[in-house]
Amino acid sequence: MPRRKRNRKKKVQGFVLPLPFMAGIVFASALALGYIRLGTDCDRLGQDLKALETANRNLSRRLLTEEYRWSRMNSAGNLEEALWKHGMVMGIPREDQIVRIVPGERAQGREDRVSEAPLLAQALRHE
Amino acid sequence: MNENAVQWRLTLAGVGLGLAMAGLCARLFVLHLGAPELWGGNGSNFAEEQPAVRGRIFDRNGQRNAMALDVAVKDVCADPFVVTSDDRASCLVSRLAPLLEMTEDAVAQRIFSRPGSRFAYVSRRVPEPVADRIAAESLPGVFFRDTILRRYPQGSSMGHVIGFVNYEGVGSAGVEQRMERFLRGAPGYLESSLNAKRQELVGRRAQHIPAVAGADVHLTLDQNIQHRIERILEDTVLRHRATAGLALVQRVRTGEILAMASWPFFDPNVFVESTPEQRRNRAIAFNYEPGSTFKPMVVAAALNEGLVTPETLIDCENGVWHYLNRPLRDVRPNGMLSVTEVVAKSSNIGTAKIGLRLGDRALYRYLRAFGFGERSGIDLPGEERGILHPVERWSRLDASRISIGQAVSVTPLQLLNAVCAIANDGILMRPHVVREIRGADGATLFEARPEALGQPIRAETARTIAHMMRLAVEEGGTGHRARLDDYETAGKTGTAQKVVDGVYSGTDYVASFVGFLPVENPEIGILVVVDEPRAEGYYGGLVAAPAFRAMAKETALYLDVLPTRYRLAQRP
Repeated sequence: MPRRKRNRKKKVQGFVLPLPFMAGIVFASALALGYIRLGTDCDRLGQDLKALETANRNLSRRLLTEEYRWSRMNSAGNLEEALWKHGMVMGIPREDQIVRIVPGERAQGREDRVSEAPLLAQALRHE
Repeated sequence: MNENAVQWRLTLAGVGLGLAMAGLCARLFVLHLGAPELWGGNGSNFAEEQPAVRGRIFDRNGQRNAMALDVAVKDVCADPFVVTSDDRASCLVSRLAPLLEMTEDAVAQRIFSRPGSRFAYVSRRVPEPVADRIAAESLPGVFFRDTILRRYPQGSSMGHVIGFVNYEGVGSAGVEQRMERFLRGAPGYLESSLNAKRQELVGRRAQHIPAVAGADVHLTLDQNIQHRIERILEDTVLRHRATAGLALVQRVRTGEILAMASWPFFDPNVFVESTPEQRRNRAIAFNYEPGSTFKPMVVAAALNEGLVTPETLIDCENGVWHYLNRPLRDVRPNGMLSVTEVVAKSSNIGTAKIGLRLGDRALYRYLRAFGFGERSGIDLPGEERGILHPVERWSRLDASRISIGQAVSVTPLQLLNAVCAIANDGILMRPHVVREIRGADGATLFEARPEALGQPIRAETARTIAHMMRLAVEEGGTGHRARLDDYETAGKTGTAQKVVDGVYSGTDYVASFVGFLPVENPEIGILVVVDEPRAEGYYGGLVAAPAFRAMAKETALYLDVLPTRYRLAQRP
């Protein structure tokens, strides 16, 4: 059987990088790049977190200021003063300005209400 | 494998390795040599305590009416070194002064008072809008420090109840002091690193415990009732040129305080500008001889013991009675009066005789049962206990004098609470001003419930004495000026001579009126005390009763207490 001749043109001249070694280097590089990527992401998230914390703090401070302003505005004294500036005075309605519906009147029948009438009249006379 | 493939593989490995090494070097540089060097500074670790926002104080209507809360403010600071190295230093002062409402000299004094220093306060506790306007000017060397300031939006209203915090942010009076442990919250803690720009490197945060805001305190007091009570009290005090005055409104059935006013008022926002006397909450820290307002409790004790009935006749000696060779006088001479009339006409002689029938020990026992001589336990600091000496220290004369409200000192709160016990079928309630405490997360930490302290008299005795007190407000009674058109009111006037240098003064009086309404189903009790009225009379019936009437009318209408005629109509 004739000996198979090697193609001299295909023979690699000089240093050859073995495939397993090459794979190891690529894997290590990928790990290193992954680490860098994660580190960068952590830094960015930290910055985002800080920015959000700052925004939250600023909003909380603004909320405090606005709460204070609102409380000052709607205080009884301030409302009274504001009305006074416009020539108005607000008071609690007098008893004769109030229409009262006697509790239970609607639930009871007409006859019951008729029977209550003398009692009410008596009470008013008593007054 | 041909040469091209090898070449390609080598290139790929070289690029991969180069990238990885470059990245790792960069990371190493940031981590160990660090970015701060890049910016020309040194990184530093720091640890700081983060202050908690103090809890708010609301009135009984909750979130709508804040009585005390924290406000974000800023300290305006300057770096004198930077300011002086800038050619525009004088320009800076002239731009800063009007924004801070200060003179240019004052601003310059603050910045340049310590040459060589890198820090100076220009103005402290500046409102944020003002600080924002200054920041917009971008003044060189001017910077800000965030801080928190306790503010009281209602000003002087309810000031004695709310109290205030000192410069360290610690509650030093009123509810602020008593509820300090709930209000102060828990400070946070941060341990981390800074870059050269003094910015925190969040990635290097070692420890972070967030601050927990303080709990919110909800009071039983109502801002609107308080406001009206304060206005009426101030009018009364000024009209009668009195030195001081106070008013209390209490819910009869629960012991809740709805209003607590003490004149002169003080503004907790500027508490340093007030005197200790102005800051004294007279409603709980004013010991005074109650005079005739004390009589209902003495008569109630005798009725409860069965020693007298409303119809029992008492000889009132035509105005002057000598007991143990010491004269006792009535304002108007009376002959034989029933016990009911003794109360209605406020006879000193009649009440002293009832007190003597009761005897020292029984009288003392009843007065203690009504809460005199001891603190009521209200949730406010600085409550006095009044003076009711042990019976062993009483002289033979004392029972006759204590019965008419002399030789005994009470606080206004004790007196109102005792009268409210009469209104509440004889049950003495613990007065309180805190209704509820809620944590920052909304959880209820404390909820006040009505607490009975005891029952000094039976319910029927209480109703009998309430009826007698109602007659005192009718025409012919000493307190007829307290009468209301729509509500049946019960009450008692008091005009007590003040003790000056150990003797009763002929010119200094304490005028008071205590009462409740409506008589048939009492809902609110009110006490008005005016100290040393000097114009338009000094009698309780003249000075305090009209104020009581105005307060009772407004409070009853505001709370929508059903008028008496409707109650009568609803009776089965």
